[in-house]
Amino acid sequence: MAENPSERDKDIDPGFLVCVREAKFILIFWVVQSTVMIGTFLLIGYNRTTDPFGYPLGLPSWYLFGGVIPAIVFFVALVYIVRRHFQEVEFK
Amino acid sequence: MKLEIVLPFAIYMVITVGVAIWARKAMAESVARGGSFMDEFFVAGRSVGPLILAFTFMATFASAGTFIGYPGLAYRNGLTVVMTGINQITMAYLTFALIGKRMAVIGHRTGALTFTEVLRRRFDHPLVSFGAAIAIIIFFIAFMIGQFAGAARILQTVSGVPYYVGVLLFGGVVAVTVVIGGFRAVAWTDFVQGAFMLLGLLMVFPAFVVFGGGFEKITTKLLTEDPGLVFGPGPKEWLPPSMLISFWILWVWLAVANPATAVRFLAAKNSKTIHQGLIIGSIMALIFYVPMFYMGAGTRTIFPGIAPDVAIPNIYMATLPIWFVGIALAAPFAAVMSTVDSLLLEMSGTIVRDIYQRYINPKASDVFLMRLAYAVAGGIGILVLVLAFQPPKLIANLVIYFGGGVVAAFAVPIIAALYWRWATTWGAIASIFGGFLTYILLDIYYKNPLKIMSYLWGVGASFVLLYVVSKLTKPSDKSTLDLYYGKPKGASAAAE
Repeated sequence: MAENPSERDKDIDPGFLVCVREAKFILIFWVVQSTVMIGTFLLIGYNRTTDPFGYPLGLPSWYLFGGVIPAIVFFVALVYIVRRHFQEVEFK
Repeated sequence: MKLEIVLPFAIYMVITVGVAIWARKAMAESVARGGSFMDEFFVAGRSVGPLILAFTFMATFASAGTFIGYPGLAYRNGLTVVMTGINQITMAYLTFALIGKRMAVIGHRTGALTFTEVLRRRFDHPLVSFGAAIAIIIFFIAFMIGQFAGAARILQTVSGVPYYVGVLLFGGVVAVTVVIGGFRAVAWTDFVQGAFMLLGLLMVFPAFVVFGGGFEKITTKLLTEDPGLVFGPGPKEWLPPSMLISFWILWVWLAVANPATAVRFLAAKNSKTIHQGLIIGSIMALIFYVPMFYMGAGTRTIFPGIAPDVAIPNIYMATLPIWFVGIALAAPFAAVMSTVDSLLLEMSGTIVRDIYQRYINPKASDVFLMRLAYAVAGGIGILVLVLAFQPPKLIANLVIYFGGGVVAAFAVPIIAALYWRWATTWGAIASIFGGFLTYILLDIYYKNPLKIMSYLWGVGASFVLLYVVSKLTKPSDKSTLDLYYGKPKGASAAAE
């Protein structure tokens, strides 16, 4: 009978554990960014006939505050995190 | 026919074929030095660096849906479509970080050449290969029809080239690209095509804003016509919050689950390639997806009452000097061709490598497999051409159908293969079939239950089936687990 995988944690590739850690991190990062963007859309972009912030730069405020700005802010944060905290792993 | 539009476009086509021929030469030299044809043809000898990886990933993901279909949907439903599409700025980083490195590691360790092979080597059973192949064939063909139709429709709109001539032209160039040089040709031409996409967008978007009278005028006109074109839930309440979240997950997870995009990581040279590719891909995503759908919605204020799928071609024609139109037009064409050639290559790989070579004729020679790969790619290409002669009503519908099917079939199994040691063969089989059958049946008989898109129910079924069946069935054997998750030494031994 095949053994239970949990009994063999000592045999796990350290590179695999790095990938698991980074995968968990990026999922959380994505959920946070998605929550910020969707939350802004629902908060100031739904069930309205006029803009609560008066169309900054001529755009609907949900587009600017929920789309463009978070896109740039999260991208900058992402670059910092990838450069500082993502680790190299051996492919072979 | 407008020569000043057709000529720059023809030059673009010649450049594409020229790059493919160049890639074929590089492939032949590598094979002559002792490289395997299959490795060279399907994953470019696993030698791809960050720039090419990011461009081929983005060019494969960005399709007629990005440049034609989804802007067409925005033309119809206004800026609310932006809410469902701008999430694609997160798609590149999520995919690179979540599956990129693991796919590359597994590729180097196991020699996997296709997405299906990554699944098949982890859950070794004919039903895994056949289930994946069926899902790939159904959804990829539907998607490719939309791609050819989109490209031919643009060409018809702007230059007067008949629709069927456009379909034949695109089919021909794509087939030549794939057959000439496999993955290397596709990746290299993707780079050229990705550059054309960026160039086209950077040219047309500022011209569009100026032509439309500025952001304020565009927004005001949309509001005057219908506030639903600017605010959710949109015209005829097409986008309740549940549908917004459904779309949000769909477009991002499509990149993760799409065999044609995921397979690109098998060609990555090292983990630095993945990290740098993640950043380059994210920059490209920002440039593609922040302005594109806004432009589709804004076109409604400039050209009211036209067919949605020709919104963007009309903007090209109206805003750019005539000689630039041909250059800018290369962007959507590039999106189409770079997507279809990747889909063809992946379909061919799945059928030749994961079904024919694995289960029908394991001793087939490289030469025979090469001819078979060409024949399969060519045969599918011809089938799609024939089906594309009858254009779909709205390209976005085919794109959404494809996206939903692929995510329902593959999102859960591929994550399980890469990360979950407790996943079993029968769990994976149940997950693949349960996911895409749930989606197909719901899509036919009871679309979007509780205003949640059908594919999410498919993903739910796929997840539950994977978990429950894996708990009830025998774990995978030690050699497989070592190969996928074990220390490199053990993995090497198992691979031998």
